[in-house]
Amino acid sequence: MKYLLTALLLTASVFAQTDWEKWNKKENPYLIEKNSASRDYSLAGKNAVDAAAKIVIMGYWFFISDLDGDNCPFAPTCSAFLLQSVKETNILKGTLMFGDRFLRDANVFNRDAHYYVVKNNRHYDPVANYMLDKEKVKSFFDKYPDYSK
Amino acid sequence: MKSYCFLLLLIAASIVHGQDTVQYNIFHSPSNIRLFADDLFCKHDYLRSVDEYENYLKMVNSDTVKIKIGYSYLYMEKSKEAGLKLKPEIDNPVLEHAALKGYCRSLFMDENYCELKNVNDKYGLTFPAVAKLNAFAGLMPDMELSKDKTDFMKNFGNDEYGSISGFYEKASNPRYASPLKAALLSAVIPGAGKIYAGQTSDGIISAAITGLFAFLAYDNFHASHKFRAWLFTGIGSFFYSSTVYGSAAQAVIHNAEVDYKFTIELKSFLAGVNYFMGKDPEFCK
Amino acid sequence: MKKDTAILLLFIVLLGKAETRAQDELARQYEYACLLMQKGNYYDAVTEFKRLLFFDMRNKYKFVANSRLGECYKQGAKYADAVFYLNVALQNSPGNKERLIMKKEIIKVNILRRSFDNALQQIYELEKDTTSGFAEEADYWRGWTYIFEDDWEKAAECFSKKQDWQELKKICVETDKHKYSVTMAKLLSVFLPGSGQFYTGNYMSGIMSVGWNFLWGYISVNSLIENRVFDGLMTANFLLLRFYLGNVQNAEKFAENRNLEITNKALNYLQNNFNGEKP
Repeated sequence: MKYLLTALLLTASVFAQTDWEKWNKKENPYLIEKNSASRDYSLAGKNAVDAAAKIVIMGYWFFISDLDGDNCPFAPTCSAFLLQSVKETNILKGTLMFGDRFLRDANVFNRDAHYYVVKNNRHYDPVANYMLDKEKVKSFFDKYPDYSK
Repeated sequence: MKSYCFLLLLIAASIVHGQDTVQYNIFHSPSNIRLFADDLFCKHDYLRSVDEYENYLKMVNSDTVKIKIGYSYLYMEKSKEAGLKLKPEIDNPVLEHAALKGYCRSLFMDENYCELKNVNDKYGLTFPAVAKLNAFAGLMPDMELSKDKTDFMKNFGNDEYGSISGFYEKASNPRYASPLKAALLSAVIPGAGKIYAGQTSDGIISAAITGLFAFLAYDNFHASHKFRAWLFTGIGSFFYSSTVYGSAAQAVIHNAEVDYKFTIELKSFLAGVNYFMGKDPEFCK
Repeated sequence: MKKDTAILLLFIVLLGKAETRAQDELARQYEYACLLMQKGNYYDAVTEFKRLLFFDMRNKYKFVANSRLGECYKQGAKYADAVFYLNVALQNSPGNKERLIMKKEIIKVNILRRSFDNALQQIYELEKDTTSGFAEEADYWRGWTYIFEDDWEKAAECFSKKQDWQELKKICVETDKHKYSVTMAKLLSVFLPGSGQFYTGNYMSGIMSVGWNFLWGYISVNSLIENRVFDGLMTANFLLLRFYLGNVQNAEKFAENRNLEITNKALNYLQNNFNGEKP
């Protein structure tokens, strides 16, 4: 509890001062911002192998995923997770990470506590946390502190 | 003669009074900039006060102002900028060596423990607070901690002994999970490695799914449905390998979480003792 | 005697001149801050207004500087700060006219930050105050609150109460007319998979939804007819149901997205092309 209070006090002091960063006029303050993320269907800047994999995934998105509803509770979605994990590691490690993500998706218990960062109503579960790199996981905690811990 | 003296006195008085009011006329004079900047600082409008102090320094050199700029950045938790501003002043004894104290704080906030050690080598003997902070840095995860507890604890006084002793024990024996052990456990019993790494429900679900496909494969082989059997074998093997990998990954996450929780505890303690530096200078009286 | 009088007079003149200079400098500082504001340097304008307030020992500029600070923060979308400074200006208003202006500004900021309950409450309280003279424009600001709340029908009702507000009424009516009914889209997709998507203009998605639903529906029914109950139930549960629910979800999502586009188009027009008084 004391850590929560300390953190809240620190956060309150930061947000009480909106002028600790220089700001400019806000453009278009009337407009309502769109919440949901959209798919990235571009093939720009990809080599032949990546492009081929992306085309297969895009086919899955277009014919199946975009039609069977928003079933994935996570962000990035499982297909996007596969794409990103293969891109950032290799095909073998990426596939294993995808398989693990699939298994974790099947677990409907304890999601709120385990995946406490929520973006666009989905639990944020980035690829970086599963690359067997402790520093990357630590950066995640630094960026998204969990005050319940 | 008397009236001339009186006249001179009056003129002098009006000039002096005029000067007081003339101050209002030159808002960007050095003294007025300083007054305004101090007011902004005391109202926690630190970024603005930094701009004003920088303008002031272009006209007048002032050690106190340089230190206040550093502290402005410290209070905004911009440790890198604070360090850059305070480092040139660390030999300055102004405000009870506020620059040195602030610099050490910024180094710790920035997790620049190497540089903190260098500062300690130079100033640790003269400034016990610096030595304390440097020793405390040894408790941070991934830092080299002295194996001799007595040697470590001699840096700290009786007030802090209890808490720091507890931290020392935790730092010496962190409750890490071994990624290799987690992987091996899951290799023997799918999901066991995840339970070992702290995710019980994930482990059970992994075990259930892998087990389900293993059973389906066995059942179909038994019933001589070759295609389905091999299909389920393939899927089962895929989930089995993923479980083994996922167990190792979960152990890594568990270890990072242990470090994170401990770091929060340490930083919370440090904030409570103001990084051992004693009270900050009373800039706003 | 004459000499002493002359000396005293000289002293008074010197004193008066210094005071005038001080006030001139404050006025110049105020003009400088306003110039920064006009140029769009709101952060720096805030600094200069704060400087003015700091040196304004007699609080001559307390009202006007704080109201300008509120305006600057409003432009930067720092609405909490804007409300704070506008409230300070309100407390230091020299008269009823200025008090009304500040209360209106606070209402506008609450509309912009989408605190609709606060805005409506403040409009109601100000309307009740018969001395303020706000009653005539209460419905106008109520209308703007409903616009931001995306309730164009209620907004149109508010603007219909005065002839001068007909342009806004027309915009609200048109926007409301073009919006899609989310309930209708969902219902259509419930009864005929794909039709909700057709209703919102997403024809490709509609065609594919029709295709998948009929395919899995056919396979499920066929399996049940052929007494392959387990296969039929599995297909119905994991495939048909999934694509059916997805179709309903898509219909809802597309209707909401279209409505958001229509709303933003109207809001964009109001922000950039509407010349009347606005938040």
